[in-house]
Order: sequence, then structure tokens, then C-alpha cells
Amino acid sequence: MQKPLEIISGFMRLLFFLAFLSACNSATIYGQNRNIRIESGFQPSSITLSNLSVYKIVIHGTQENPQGSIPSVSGLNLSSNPQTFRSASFINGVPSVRLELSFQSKPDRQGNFSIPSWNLTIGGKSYPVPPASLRVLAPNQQDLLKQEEQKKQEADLRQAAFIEFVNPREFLFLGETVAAEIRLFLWDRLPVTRVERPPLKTGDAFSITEVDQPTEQRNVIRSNKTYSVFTWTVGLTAAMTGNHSLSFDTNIRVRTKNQRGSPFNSPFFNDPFFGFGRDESIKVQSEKNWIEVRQPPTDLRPPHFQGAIGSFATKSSIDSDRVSLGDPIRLTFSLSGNGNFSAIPAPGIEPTSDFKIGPPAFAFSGNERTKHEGEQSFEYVITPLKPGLLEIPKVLFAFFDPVKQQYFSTSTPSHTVRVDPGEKWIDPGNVSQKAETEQSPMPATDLFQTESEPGEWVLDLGSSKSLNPWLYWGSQSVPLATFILLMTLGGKRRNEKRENLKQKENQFAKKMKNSLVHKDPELFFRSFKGLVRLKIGKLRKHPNPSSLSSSELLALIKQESNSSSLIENLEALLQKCDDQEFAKGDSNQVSLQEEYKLASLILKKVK
Amino acid sequence: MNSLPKILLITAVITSHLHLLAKTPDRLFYDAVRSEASGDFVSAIDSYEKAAAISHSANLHGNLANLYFKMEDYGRSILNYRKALFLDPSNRDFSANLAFASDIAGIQTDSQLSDGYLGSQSYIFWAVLTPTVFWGGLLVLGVLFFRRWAFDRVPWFGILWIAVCAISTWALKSSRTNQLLLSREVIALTDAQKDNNQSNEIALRRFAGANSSANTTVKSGESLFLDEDQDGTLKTHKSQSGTRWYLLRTKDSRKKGWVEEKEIGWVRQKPVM
Repeated sequence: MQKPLEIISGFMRLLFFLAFLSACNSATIYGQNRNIRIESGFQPSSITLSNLSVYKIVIHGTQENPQGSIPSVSGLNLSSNPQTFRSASFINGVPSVRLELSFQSKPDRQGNFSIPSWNLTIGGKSYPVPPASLRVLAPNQQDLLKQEEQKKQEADLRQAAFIEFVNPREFLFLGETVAAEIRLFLWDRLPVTRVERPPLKTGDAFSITEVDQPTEQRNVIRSNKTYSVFTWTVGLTAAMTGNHSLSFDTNIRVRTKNQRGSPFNSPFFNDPFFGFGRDESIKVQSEKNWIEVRQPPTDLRPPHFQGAIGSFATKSSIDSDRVSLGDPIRLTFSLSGNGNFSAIPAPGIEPTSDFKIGPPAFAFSGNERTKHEGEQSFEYVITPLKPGLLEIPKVLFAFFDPVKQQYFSTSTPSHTVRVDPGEKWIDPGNVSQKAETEQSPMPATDLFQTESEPGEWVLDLGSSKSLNPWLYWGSQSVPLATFILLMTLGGKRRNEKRENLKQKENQFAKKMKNSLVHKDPELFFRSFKGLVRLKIGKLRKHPNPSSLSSSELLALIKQESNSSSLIENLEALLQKCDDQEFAKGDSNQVSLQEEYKLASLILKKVK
Repeated sequence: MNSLPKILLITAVITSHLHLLAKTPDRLFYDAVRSEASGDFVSAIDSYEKAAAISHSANLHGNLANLYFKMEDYGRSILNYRKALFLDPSNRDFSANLAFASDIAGIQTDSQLSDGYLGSQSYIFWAVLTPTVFWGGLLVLGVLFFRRWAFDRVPWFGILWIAVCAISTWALKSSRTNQLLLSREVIALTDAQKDNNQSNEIALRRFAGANSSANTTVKSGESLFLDEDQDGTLKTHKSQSGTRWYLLRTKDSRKKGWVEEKEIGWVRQKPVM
């Protein structure tokens, strides 16, 4: 049980503590009610170029947050997040409060910097901040050594860790996509614990695909040093024409030795391994790569070119070549090869009234990282709007080959599909429109109409329309008889002519014989010539033998292989005939008997 | 004797009104049209079939085919369209309906007899044209002979005449073959009383018997052709139960087998056996 004295002592201590708190509060309130005074200045007020200074504003008489903006001074960079420090104290028994604002200052150049007087607003009242000046001296020897050491460290770091960007093409065309590589080289002796983030791109003229997990390659020798190389493969697409730079940077985590002389760098606090080292983030940058981006040529650009750049092969297929009306058909158009697959819109299809064509579905298979190499397919769902044998419209596609630097245009081969009537499908979107359009030649509703009259009745279906055989074959006899008649009459007419010729020959032969009896040389020669004419005319099929002259008869005789003596004898006899006919030669000198023998021989042998 | 005039009178009255009791094809046809209009397809089909048993007309078979199509009996629908087209070959409605019904039934139209320039309907045309061309050319030659024209002056006429004669003769022969085939053509039919679960296919059996296994099957509505002996008689068989069986094959002869008489419908008149 506690003694009463101890209870009183504890109560007195409590009263004293409360009285102290009350005094402190009173001092603060008192201090805040005093006049506000502001001081400012640089600490230190003179530095060398490589060092930092602090612009400090001290506000006496209040701890309220002030409002205002520091005037900017060219060449002097002030941090935007000041350190604040509030304090309350009794000085010679007088309470005092103040607020300190410290801005870190870094000069860019050598010289004097002055911040002019400016105003701060505290509690709705404005108070002037006195001007302050900073003198920046030229770097001294120690600074120069420090800078050299820093440069050396940076150079060493650049050799120990660097980024290399590999672009396979000397120049790009606008919209062209290539597979590029970002390689992070890390020296094996550099104690890298991890790569903090994938490389980031700097350069608005290009776009890249998502930077995914890298591939790692160890023991790569470069400049007699052994590196581990992390490679990211990306699809690089040129977005702006011109000559543009492109660079990449990343951060790596490295274990470093502790800096001495700083209580905050104590290994006990910062190093999980209690003084053997600590992790530090280091930024690794690539060199600036300058890449020329050209505009694809406008000459000979196909009208249906939609920006596809690369080298492609196309193919197309349909899933069915026979469907019912209204059933969808899948037309798949595929592009395979290299190019800007992610930037290629769906190729257009020739407009047609036979099909309803829906927007295509995209599918890509290939290098998903770069989307530069693989196969892109567009699946169109097309619905036939009428039955019959229909030809699916062509898919038009054009691309620009950046290597050959020329445009290529392709189209799908024609696919023919048979559309069965099936259930009639009505496009709900075109109901009103379809009602206005003309009807198809034979709509299904027009089929199967009932006839209300029976028409002509026939007793059986066996009586096919055939000809009466008696009538049919009997009618053949008419042309047959006509033909026989024509042939008979024609043959008779031909025999009559032959008979006439024979009769004439007989008459001439008889006259020739009679001329011997009557010793009539004129009749003899006339008969002989007539016989020769008929004979040769018959042999040569002359249409009018009686018109042949002696010379013509001789010419005809010479055409065949008659003996020369026969020709000479005939010529002599024909000469005598002509003499007798035209010159009335001396008939007494002519021996008709010999002439008859000769004439008979000639008529017999002539051919 | 007194009852004789009464008997004669009663007989005369009955005879004069007998025609009113008889159903003529026209009346049956109109009855069927009325039944069809009222939606009683079964009665309509019954009336049409009764009319068709008496006489035939293109419109009768066309209407009957329409009804069978609406009842989804595509085999009988095709059979009646064929009959209608036989009676009225130039009717385009029948042609369109037949094509549509064949398409719906899933039957290739090339299994049916073509009715084009070499079809059975063209036989008369070719039968007239062929002798006309032959005799015409021959008479021209006869006239030339009579007029003593040399034949070597008209060689092209002779070649042309021979060519036209050859083509015309070939067409005549083809159309005649089609006409003979048509007389042996039947349409495969399923049982009219079948329910919806039964198949639409008809078995072509290995031998003429109901318990025979099938060589193959054909669809209802498909064209089949009766086989003939060398002497031209049809290959048939009558079983002990009185059922008549026919040996049939498809147009391309790839399917053949025996079918029962009730499983086929004759496009033409059934021959007397």
C-alpha cells in the first residue's frame, strides 16, 4: 500500500508538468503574436562551380506556412522541395518562434547571382524577403580533380555497361517495321545485382513494340573484355519522315563500396551485409543512333494501297463451296512474310450485291514480340444474298517492298460457291430497302402455284408422240421416186447424146465409102475430116467437136503420145482436106483408094 | 304384263341420273382444288389420285406434285412433275418446280433424263429433219445429174450434205435412245404411310425378296431404269405372295438391284405384263 507522502509527491510532479506545458504553449502563442521578421541568404555565400549552396529563408515570429514564389535567376537552379525547420525557444526569458526554409542551389556557371527582394504572404499579410547574393568562383584544383575523376568513372562505366542498338537497315520508309535489337552489355567484373527495368526509348519519330523479357548470352568478348549480353528484340516502326535520333537507356543495380566520412553512409544502416558494400542504381545509356526515314514513292502507287510495307505472299481460301442461302461463308485471306503486320488494315473487297460482307477478324501467328515476321490472316464472314452459282468477290491487296523499292498488287483467285435456295434469309437491316428493289426472277413463293383448271385430258401416258410408220415410210417413197426418175431421165439423156455421136460417125464412114464408089474426093475429104473431128472431140471430151480446125486438131493430137509418122500422115491428109475444101485441088491426081487405107489406119490408131 | 311399263319407266329414270353419281375426272379435279383451298391436303391428294387413275392432265399432275412437295413427299412430287412435264414439256413452271424439288430432295439432276435437244421430246423433230436433209440433198444431186452438170463442180455441197446427214442421224439415234429409256424410267418412292423416323432411302436388293440384303440405296425421287433382256422384255419376278419385283439400275449403271413394285412410280404408262 502506497504511503500518503508518495501520493502527494506524485501529484506535485504532475502539476509541475502541466504548468510547464502551459508555459510552453503561452510562449508559442506569445511568440506568434509578436512582429514577423524575415531574413534570407546563401550559405555559404561563396562557392566554386562544382559545389552546392543553400538559399535559406528564416521567418521570425511565426510558424505558419508562407506562400509565395522565388524569382527565377538564370544560371541558378533552386530545388523545388525546400527543407523546413520550425523552432521555439526562450531567449533571455522571452519566448521566440521561427520557421526556416532551405532551398538547395546549384549554379550552372561562374559569376555573381542575386535574388532580388520578393514578398511572402503569411496569414493574409505580405512581408518582404530581403535580397540575397551568391558568388560562384572558378573551379579550383580540387574541383578539377574531382571532375576528372568523375569523367573517368563515367568512361569506365561506359565501358563496363553500355547499350548497343542494332538496326538491320540503313534507312527506313515511313511506316516500315523492322526487327531491331537492343543489347545491354555488362562487364563480368561489374557486380551487377539486377537490371532494374527494360530499356526505355528516347526518340518520338519511332515506335517500338513492347519490350519483353531479354535473352541472355554470357562470355561475349568485346575489346578484350568479357561481357554478359542481354538482348531485347523489338519491332521498330518509323513514324516520321526525316533524319531522327533514337537512343535507349536503362538502370542497373550495382554493389558499390561505402563512402567514408558520412554518418549516413554507415554500413550498419545501409548495407544488409553490415559493412561489406551496398546497392546503387546506375543509369546506362546508348549512343544516339541517327536513322533516316523516307517517304514511300507516290509514283505507281496502287489505288488500294493501304500502307502495307514489306515482302508478302498471299493466299485465300473458303471453308465451304456449297451453302444454303443465308448460311455464312468464311473467306480467309492470309499474308505471310516480313513487314509491318501490326499496321496493316484489313484489305478491301470488291463491292458486290450478291453477298453481305462483315468486318474481318484478325489473327496473327508468328513472332509475337516484333510482329514483323509471320502470317496475318483476315477472316471475312460473307453471307450470300441470293441462290445460284456465285463468284465471291476478290480481295484487293497492295504492298510496298522496301528492298526492291516498288509496289506490288495482288488479288485473290476467284472462288465460286454454289448457294442452295434453303430457307429464305432476309437481312433485317435491309428490309425496307429490299422491298423496293426488284424481285428475283423466280422467288420461292412463286413456286407451287395451283392450277384451277385441269387442262387437256389424255387417257394414258403411254402414247408418246410418235410418227405413224406407214405415213412416215410412205412419205419417203415420194423423194425416192423423184430421185429414180431424175436418174433415169438423166441417164437417158446422156445415152441419146452418145447415140447421136455414133450415128454421125456412121454417117461420115458411110459417106467416105460412098465417095470411093463415086470417086468424089470432095466428099471423101469432108467425111474424113468430120470423122477425125468426132473421134478427137470424143477422146478429148470437146463440147463442140465440129468447130475444131485442122491446126486445133493437130495440136490436140500432139498432146498425146501418138507416133510422129501418124501425125505427119494426119497433117498431110488434113492439108489435102483443106486444099480440097478451100482451093478446089485437082481431083484426078488423087488416088482415093490409097487415101482411104491411110485414113482408116489413122482413125484406127489415133488416140 | 301390266308391270312392264313401270319397270321400263324406273329403268329409264335410273339410267338418266346415273351420270350424276359417277365421278368424272373433271369433278374430282375441282373437288381436289376446293379441298386444297380449304387446307385439307390429304383429301385433295386423294381426289387428285382418283382423277389420275381415270385420266391424266398436265395441270392435274402439277397440282398433285405441288401438294406432295408441301407434304414433304419429295419422291412423289418429283414423279408427278415428271408426268406433268411429259404431258406439257414447254411448261416452265413445272421445270422450275422440278428443279427446286430435286434440289431440296438432294437429287442430282444429271441422274434424270435430259430433255434438251437430244431428249425424248426431240425425237419427232429429228425424225423429220433427217430424211428431209437426206432426200433434199439427194434430189439436188439428181437434178444436177439430169441437167448434165459434172459432179466435180459441187464437191463442197457433197461434203456438207454428208456431214449434216451424219449429225442429224446421230441426233435421231440419241433422241430415240432417250425415248426408249423414258419408257423404262421409274421414280423411286418411299412408303406413303411411313412416319418421320423412317429413312428416305430405298434399298436396291441383291435378289427379289423382302428379306434380301441391299446392294445399295437410292434416295426417294431418284430416277431408275428397268433392265431389259436381250429380246427386249423387262426383267421382272413375281414372288409366291404375288408381289412383283423389278431389276433396276441408275442412269450411270453404278447402282442396281431389285425393288418391289410399290417402291417405284412409273413416269410413263406401266407396261402390261
